[in-house]
Amino acid sequence: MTFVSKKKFCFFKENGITEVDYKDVKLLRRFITEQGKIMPRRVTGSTAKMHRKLVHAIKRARNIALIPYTNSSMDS
Amino acid sequence: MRYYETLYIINPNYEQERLDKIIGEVKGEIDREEVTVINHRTWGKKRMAYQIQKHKYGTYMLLQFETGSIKALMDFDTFMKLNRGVIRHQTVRLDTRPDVYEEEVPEVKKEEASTSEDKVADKPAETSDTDEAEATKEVSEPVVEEEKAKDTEPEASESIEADEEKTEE
Repeated sequence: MTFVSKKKFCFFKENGITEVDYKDVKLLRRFITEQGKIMPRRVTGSTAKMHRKLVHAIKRARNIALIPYTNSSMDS
Repeated sequence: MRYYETLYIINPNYEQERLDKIIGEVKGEIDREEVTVINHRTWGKKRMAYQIQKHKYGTYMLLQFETGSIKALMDFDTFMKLNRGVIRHQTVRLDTRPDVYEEEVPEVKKEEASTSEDKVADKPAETSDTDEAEATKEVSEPVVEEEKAKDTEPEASESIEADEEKTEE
């Protein structure tokens, strides 16, 4: 039995996105886990350049409370 | 000259008057000689991802400006820190000049204008076709008055007829 892994692709490259805006919460939520962690590049398949921009944007969005640092923070 | 963007959160419990006051204060602080304000608008009242100062919601405000003065930026940052109404703020540098934000209100006005034009078209038009856009605003009010007059006239005539019938009886 052979396992064929699904071909990964860069979401940004596919959609022609060159800049990541920290206010675009809908886009950022795609790249964080349920716990609020940033997904690794090996999972998302995004290019190194776009991943750096993404990480930057996510951290900015976290600071201004658009997306959570951790998912349990709202419960406390 | 560089472009900057400040996103700040105002206490959600403030009523409109107090909100306007804080927005005015921020505007007064940033509006200097060396600073050009491009956009300053309400982004909306949103639920925050986590509580800040025990607040679950916050009124987000977006300010975009252009400046070459570091001192102005530092002073603005200090002002925002000290302002009690502002519960969180963040200034970031933009690579390109942001577009000037235009509210969606003008579109609604256009629709209204088109509907009023239709009304005018239905009526026997006294206005010339050339200055329609300008004329519609002036005409729209008289049209309403005419409609009202028409509405009232038949009732009056009916009442007169009714009176006549009564007199005949």
